[in-house]
Amino acid sequence: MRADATLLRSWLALALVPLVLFAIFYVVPVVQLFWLSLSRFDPAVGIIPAVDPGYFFTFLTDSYYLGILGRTVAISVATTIATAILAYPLAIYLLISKGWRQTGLLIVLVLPLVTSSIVVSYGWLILLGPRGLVNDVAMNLGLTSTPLQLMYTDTGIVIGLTHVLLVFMALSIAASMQAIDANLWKAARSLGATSWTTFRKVTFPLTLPGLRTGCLLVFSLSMSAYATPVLIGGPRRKVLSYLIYQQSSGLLNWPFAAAMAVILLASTLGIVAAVRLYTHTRRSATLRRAGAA
Amino acid sequence: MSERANSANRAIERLKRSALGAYVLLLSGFLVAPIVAITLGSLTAGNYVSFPPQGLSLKWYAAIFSQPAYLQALLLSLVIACISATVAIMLGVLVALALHRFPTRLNILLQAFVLTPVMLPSIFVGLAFLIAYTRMGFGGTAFGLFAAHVVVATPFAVSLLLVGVAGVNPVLEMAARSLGASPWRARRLITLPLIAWSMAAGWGFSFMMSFGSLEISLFLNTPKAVTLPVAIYTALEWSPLDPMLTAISSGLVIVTLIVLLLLVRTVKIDQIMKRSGS
Repeated sequence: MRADATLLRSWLALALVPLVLFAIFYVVPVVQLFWLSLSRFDPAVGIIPAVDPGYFFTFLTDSYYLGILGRTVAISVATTIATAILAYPLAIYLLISKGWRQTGLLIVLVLPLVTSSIVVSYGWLILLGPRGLVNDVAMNLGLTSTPLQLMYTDTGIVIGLTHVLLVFMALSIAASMQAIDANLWKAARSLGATSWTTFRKVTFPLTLPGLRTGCLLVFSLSMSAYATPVLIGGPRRKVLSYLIYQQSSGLLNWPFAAAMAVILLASTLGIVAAVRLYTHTRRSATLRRAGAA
Repeated sequence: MSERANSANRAIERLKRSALGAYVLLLSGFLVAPIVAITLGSLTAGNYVSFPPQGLSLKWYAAIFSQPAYLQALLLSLVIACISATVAIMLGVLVALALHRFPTRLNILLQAFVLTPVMLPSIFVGLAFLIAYTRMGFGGTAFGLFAAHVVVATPFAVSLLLVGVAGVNPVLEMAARSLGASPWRARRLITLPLIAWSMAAGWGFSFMMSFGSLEISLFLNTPKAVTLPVAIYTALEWSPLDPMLTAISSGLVIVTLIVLLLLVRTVKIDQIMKRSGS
């Protein structure tokens, strides 16, 4: 008991200041946002305190809003698939390379993430525009006669998001690859497996957890991305986060913006939880089958 | 026969390696493309943004100096990023030590408070800051911006510091304690020097995250306190093809690049890879 009290005291000596500061400057704001999402708003009066889930109904019964939510999900799924395919070879390279090659790839991967999202999106604006480099090259090579429409399209948004989020996927896969016991490869090869079979039957299945972590991470980050979809997609290809900003800063309707922020969070977490549950039950089913056999 | 098969195998292996290398090179080009486009585009001598640039000149960099608003924004961004990275590191050391050294249930609370800000959508957190900080009375002030940036930067600092703390043998600190040092003295003299590299790395990462942050600042900005990313964002709505904007943007890139390259020298990549694997 006394030992517990001393432990608690020395823990508090470290944790008290961060806890209090984060309670005031972070937890209270988040709670207020949830609370405000149940209020009403009148342009003439301002915010009217209430406990009324009206804005949630407005959103969930209007095909305009639901369409934007659907497009946000579709863009995020496409980005997740694209990063998974593109990042897998990068993860292999990260593990087998050493020295400056490894460091160089890491720098290049991290660069889009640490550079301000506004600058990176601006760069895409220059490259993807009708007279940008991508179209110049495509037209000079004779791939297309008219400029490709990349700006203000969902394809453009997916390209921009894939670019920024590739690092999360590559590092997640590399982490699970690094955890593989090298003896497994030796065992597979000594039993006569070709390198392709070894990859298919040993390496790939063992990197599935990392792939899943990467997918969930990239999906959540795509759902909430702001600068990339707004700058590349423009006002006509709206995503949910743009709607939230517009509603709060343009129209000053904080309660509706808060309700949409809650919907964004809930739909992201809901999909992530569903995928986790699905892969978990499938894995335990596989384990059960293996145990029975 | 087997000799020949072996050399064929080796040739295939080499071929695979060079194919992988070529792929990595191609994708690296994709990763740096927009940043290169901004930086080179800013050197244009023409009057609108184009890539590749038309002629070479530094005139758009000179043009920035006739626009004090951008210089003020740059200064504000630098100051906020420096201060919030410093505060984030101080809080981060406390949190990392508490999380790593004390196996108590209360750590769940600490994690929920301190590590979740980066897990929530930044637009969600930004809106929450706008609502609450306005009600608390420092909505459109530099203090509000600074508080928000500390909240968002700290989780990055903590995760790097946890790698550093995990690499320190706790017996060293106990030895210092047994020789009569107080807990804080032992931490200061033994643990802090050993985690200095992760403190530097955490500071650099927090700095870059704060310096480049758009969403959080977008909600909290007022005409009095505009950070550089917000200034660029606003200007982009009006004149996306103004070459001066690319010059300012590449200023932002240069600051980030300097910090990133300094960071790479301090960070222990193998320790971070090992940690994320476990």
